[in-house]
Amino acid sequence: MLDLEDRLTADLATAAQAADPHPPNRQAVAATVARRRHRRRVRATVLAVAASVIVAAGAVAALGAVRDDDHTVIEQPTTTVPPTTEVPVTTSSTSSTTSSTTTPPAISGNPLRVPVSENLVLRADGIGPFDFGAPQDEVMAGIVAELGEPRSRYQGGGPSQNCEPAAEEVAWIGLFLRFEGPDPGSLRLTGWSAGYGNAQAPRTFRMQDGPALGEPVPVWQAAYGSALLVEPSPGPPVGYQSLTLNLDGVTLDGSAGPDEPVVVNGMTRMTTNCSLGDV
Amino acid sequence: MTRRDVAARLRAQPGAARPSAGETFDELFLRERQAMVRVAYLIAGSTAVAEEVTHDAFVTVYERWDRLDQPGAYLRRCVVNGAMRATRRRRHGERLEAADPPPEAVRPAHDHTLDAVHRLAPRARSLVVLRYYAQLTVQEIADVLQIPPGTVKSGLHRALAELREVLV
Repeated sequence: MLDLEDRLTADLATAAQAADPHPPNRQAVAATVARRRHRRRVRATVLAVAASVIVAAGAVAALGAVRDDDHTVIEQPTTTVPPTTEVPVTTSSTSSTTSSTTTPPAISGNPLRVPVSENLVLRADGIGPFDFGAPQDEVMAGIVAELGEPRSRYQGGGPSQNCEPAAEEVAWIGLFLRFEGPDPGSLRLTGWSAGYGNAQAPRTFRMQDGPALGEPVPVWQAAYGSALLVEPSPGPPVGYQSLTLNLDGVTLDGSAGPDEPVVVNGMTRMTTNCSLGDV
Repeated sequence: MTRRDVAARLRAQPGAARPSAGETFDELFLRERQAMVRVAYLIAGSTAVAEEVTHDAFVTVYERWDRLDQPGAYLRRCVVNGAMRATRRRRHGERLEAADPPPEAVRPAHDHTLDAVHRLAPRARSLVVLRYYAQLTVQEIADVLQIPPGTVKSGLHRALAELREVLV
């Protein structure tokens, strides 16, 4: 007769085998992760929109109150934006133009709230001096020298995310880069996404020989003409616009809005369909 | 079959191997998914709960992968804690899946053992499953449950005493 411990060992193994619960499915795990990230992203967007509305409403109320009272103009409406150097939109493009772009016209009264990075210009085939395909180490060294250490990194990869076997997203405020490769030690730059509007962003980015994120949509339309398609974004949150920019056959996705003046607040160029998630 | 035989068999299964450093999530997933769902089943007493708990545990590990020093140990903790939480919830209202068992005459012996284990409190049940099914050492169980090794030993001692009254 087996002693109690042997009996437990044998019977628990047999019971587990007999019940045969189904082990989890890898695709289902990835799908749940994607769903959770999507929910978090939507929640963050809604919160950001709500915050923007509150700030805008406060600014409008403050301006209105001042005008009603003594008809003076306040220099700095109360907002959450930290003090930064203001750069006029007319200074954003100094290098030579390509065949498909023109220098954006100046629109007075719409200064950017933060400086424009002149080293990390956004290109259809890379960012700053780095082309897509550049080794991660090389790119990271250059970007960290410009922007400082990233605030977060997210790793993943594999066919379930439509990525190469290894992938990583590295995020700074206002910019994230995607790297992919056959293994974590051989990652290469495959995409960038830049944004404007975060109150903590130290700078904004501009297109090579083109306008900067944070400049009004008409500036971008003047620069790119029919190459830039602007459409209302379907569904909530309302007020946003979708941008599709065709640069010599390469498509970039962007967004604008919702506040007046409607400024371009995001532009993305990914060379793969990798869906690693947000960071 | 002796405990040593079962332990040897478990070690021979891919699902029972110990986590190794530098592995990918997919490697951990493939190696541990069956072992973990069975551990969850033995603690929770329900295949449906076990499958859900294990799925959620892998999702949690996936999301935190780059921040985990020992993903295998963290996975085990998620599975065991999830199964214990589910057990406690069911004790407060839901019926156990095995609450309406078939007649005694047709029930295999291992069912009696499992029933006896499921009558233990969730913590004691986890101790027994981790020790006698997963074949973890006292120190490994202490790491999973985040309790002192002495508490593991005394808890196992009490659990065995309870089981001895029912099974022997």
